[in-house]
Amino acid sequence: MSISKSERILNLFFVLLNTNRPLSRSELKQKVSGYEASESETAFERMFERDKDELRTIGIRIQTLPIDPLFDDELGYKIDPSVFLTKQTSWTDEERYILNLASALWHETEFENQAKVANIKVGSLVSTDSDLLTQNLQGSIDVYKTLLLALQKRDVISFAYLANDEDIPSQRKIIPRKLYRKDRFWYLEGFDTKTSLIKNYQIDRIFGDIKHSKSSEIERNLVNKLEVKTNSEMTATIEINQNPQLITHIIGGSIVDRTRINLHYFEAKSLVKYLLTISSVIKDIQDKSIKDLYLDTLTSFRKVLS
Amino acid sequence: MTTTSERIPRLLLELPWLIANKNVSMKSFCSQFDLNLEQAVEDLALLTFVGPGKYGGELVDIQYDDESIRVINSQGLNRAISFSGSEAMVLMLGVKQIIDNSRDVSIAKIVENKLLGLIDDSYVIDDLQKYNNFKNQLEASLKDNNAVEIDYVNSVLGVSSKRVVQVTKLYNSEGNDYFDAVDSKSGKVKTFRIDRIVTLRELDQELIKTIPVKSDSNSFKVKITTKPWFTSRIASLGLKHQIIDNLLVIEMEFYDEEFLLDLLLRLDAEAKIESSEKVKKETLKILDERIKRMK
Repeated sequence: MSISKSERILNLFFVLLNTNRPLSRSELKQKVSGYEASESETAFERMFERDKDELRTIGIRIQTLPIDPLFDDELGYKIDPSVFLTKQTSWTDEERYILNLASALWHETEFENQAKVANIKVGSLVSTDSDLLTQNLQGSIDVYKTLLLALQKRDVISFAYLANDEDIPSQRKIIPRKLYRKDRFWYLEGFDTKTSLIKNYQIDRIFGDIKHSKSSEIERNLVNKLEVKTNSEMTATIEINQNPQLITHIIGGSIVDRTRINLHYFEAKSLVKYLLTISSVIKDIQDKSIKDLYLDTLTSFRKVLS
Repeated sequence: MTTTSERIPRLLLELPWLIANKNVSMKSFCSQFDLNLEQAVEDLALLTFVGPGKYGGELVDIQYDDESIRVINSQGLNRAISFSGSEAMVLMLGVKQIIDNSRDVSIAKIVENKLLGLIDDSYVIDDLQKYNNFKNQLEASLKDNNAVEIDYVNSVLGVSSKRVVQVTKLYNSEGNDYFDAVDSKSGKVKTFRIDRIVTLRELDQELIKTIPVKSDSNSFKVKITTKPWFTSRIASLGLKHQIIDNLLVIEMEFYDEEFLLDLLLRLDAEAKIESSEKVKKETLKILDERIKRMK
């Protein structure tokens, strides 16, 4: 009796998953139930290629490796579970509730299915019970929905943004390339249409609504061709009045010696804004221009208290 | 009709999910995967026919009836396939919204960190483990009435090494974990933030028998008003604030002028401050000292 395509692909999947060594095509033909029905070697080859593509399409990475480590003339196939399976994690009932809520926030949006699948992957019992949701939470997801949609379509978005070295938000118009999380914050990497540079924006610093519109073909092509260019990183040496080992644990940077630390920065004004927040420990700044700017800015705060 | 490319991802989702939810009912399984009973039985039947063994013996083994579904042997597929980029993203962003908009976020933060561990190999999980260890040790010391020795960096970056304290209370406020403890030197109750602990050691001794009442006598009230977009600059401090008439308003009790100054320096030189003249004078004095020591 011939077996279904689904059954054959799953058999291939389980054979590749359970092998400790790469299996050759001829071994797979022997081991995988369903390949024996192929009428010829060419038919088997075609069938095998289609099945591999099917597994790759759904995110399963099949490794192609030499069968004999000393000779790379014959290749074999296997699936490495440590690469393609999620790591072992256990979830408490309370944690599952949070996952459920996080997934339910995307209910009736374009990303509902991805959220549901992700939630199933962590083993949750998915619920879209409206009691779970508060209006406040549903509203706040709209910003990210707009960003994700713009990312998918390579659309233009515009928003007011408060840069670290500015005191008033300025309008930005960008084509987003990547949304990512670093340390405690979420960032958007995008092509700035005004400066034609790739820049990174901290999402928390976006102020007000995000508007989105279609990008032109020229803009989209430009984004695809651009490589990420950033200003070169500089280092400022700061003398402090506290234990550098304990201080760098909280504020970052690296220890120079018993009284000094190094902080890395891209723009002097941004660095100075940051230095103000740690001014309680600063004794001196090696770079004169940074020191002057820092002192001017620090002095400007006298009027708040006078 | 379901196509092969739709069905296979679903089947590969179903098996690890059934392992994670032992003895789940057929009804729950159907509702989870949007299946009718016939489709559910077809999926389970197909799964029991597949595996690495061509002639039986090494096949997926699932026992099921209307009451429950049990996976006896998953043939190695005991965990779900990795998240795609967009799947990970939407779940992480959902958890972020919960953290940003809820009062008690300690569990949501644990979920966020576990998800990061699942998604990104490069994520430094050590810090989280260290943080959770501190929290567990503090809970244990509170339960056992034992003092702890900490290296601590306070909100104005003041460092205290080998400080011995006795924990009296653990709590979460505005998204941050804190503990109150009696300081061995001053004998007073002080508040500490867990993420500002650098090292912690539980001591095998009780420091105090009677917990003193936490004194707020040295506190002073201050109201700061500034532009609304500076909210992002105080987000990590976990302070109570409001937006009133398109202005950011921070109205709270402060315990020292150093912290008040550090807060102002995060905002802008146009901020308005309402407090007693004495507080303004003291704060200005600290600012002038910081300026002076640089010159």
